[in-house]
Amino acid sequence: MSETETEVVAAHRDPVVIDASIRALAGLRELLPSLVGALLLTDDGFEIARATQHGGTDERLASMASSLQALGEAIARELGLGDSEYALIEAHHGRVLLRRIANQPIILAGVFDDDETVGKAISVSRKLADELSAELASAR
Amino acid sequence: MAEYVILFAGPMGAGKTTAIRSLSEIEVVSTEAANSEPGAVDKPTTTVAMDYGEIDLDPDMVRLYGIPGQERFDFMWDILRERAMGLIVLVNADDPEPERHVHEQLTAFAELATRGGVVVGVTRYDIQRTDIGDRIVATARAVLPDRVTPVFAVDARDQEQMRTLLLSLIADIETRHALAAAP
Ligand SMILES: Nc1nc2c(ncn2[C@@H]2O[C@H](COP(=O)(O)OP(=O)(O)OP(=O)(O)O)[C@@H](O)[C@H]2O)c(=O)[nH]1
Ligand SMILES: [Mg+2]
Repeated sequence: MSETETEVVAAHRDPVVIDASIRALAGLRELLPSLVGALLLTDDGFEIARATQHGGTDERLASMASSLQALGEAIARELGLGDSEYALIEAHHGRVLLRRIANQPIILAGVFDDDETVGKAISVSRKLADELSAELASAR
Repeated sequence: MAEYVILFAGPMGAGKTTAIRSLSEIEVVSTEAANSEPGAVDKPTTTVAMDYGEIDLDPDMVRLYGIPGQERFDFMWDILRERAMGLIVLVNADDPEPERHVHEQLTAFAELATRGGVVVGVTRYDIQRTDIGDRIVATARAVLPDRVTPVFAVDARDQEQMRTLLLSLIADIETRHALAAAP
């Protein structure tokens, strides 16, 4: 397919989105030392940017996060609960938080070890998501 | 009354989501996401987790699950395969490599096809008229030599055609069960 000026470039190929995403993840890592890994991904599971701390985020995290986010949104829709804000998986040795970047086909997936309080992971990720959403709204 | 769980498999753009929407009598649970790679398969959305629908084929109740066609979601295949009792493989006639896809899907779901039942539907024949019917039949026979795998040309958008495909699958499952139960 030829690239024309009117064509919408997919988020994972858009340099503006990639750049903003890399900066956003760096900010997240600074504020949350317990972050094991974080990804920004497209709705259909393509990685846009990643930040890993202690080496290694599963290659498949982007696809799995995309599936889980879509299922979470389907459940909220089914029950008439409106937009879902975030989804949280609490495991024995850590947690995974998924959050949509408002008004963008982009999802944040963060993996935390069990040192972090849930509240902080939720509030910091919300702040980051809001800022990225605002930045992309003015840029895209 | 029996309850059947049927899995729809096949490559991206084969028409799995469309078929379940044609068949389902309840509002379909869908997990469509914007397609970031329309250069590969040109359509606005793609399934990222599953489709779910239901149809009452009195006296039988049928649950319809569609998988994501893209291989990066193959962990969903493993999750959904467990509960399935029958398999519908869809492949679009205008795909560059329909036989490869049929081969891959039947191989991936061979256990289900053998344990339950299987049919293959070739979609989008109106877009690309080809002679792939015989080749798909041969491909299916190569992967599943011990059974006959019916191959139909269907339009996933057409409720009647999809019903016929589904009914033939259920007949196949029932026949197998009856034969297995016979002394
Ligand atoms: N012309 C024509 N179009 C068809 C036929 N069958 C399906 N389609 C169209 O082909 C497209 C199939 O798209 P989907 O149903 O999303 O395909 P899918 O298999 O769910 O794909 P993924 O979820 O991305 O793996 C839709 O636009 C259908 O309307 C057919 O027989 N003829
Ligand atoms: Mg689909």
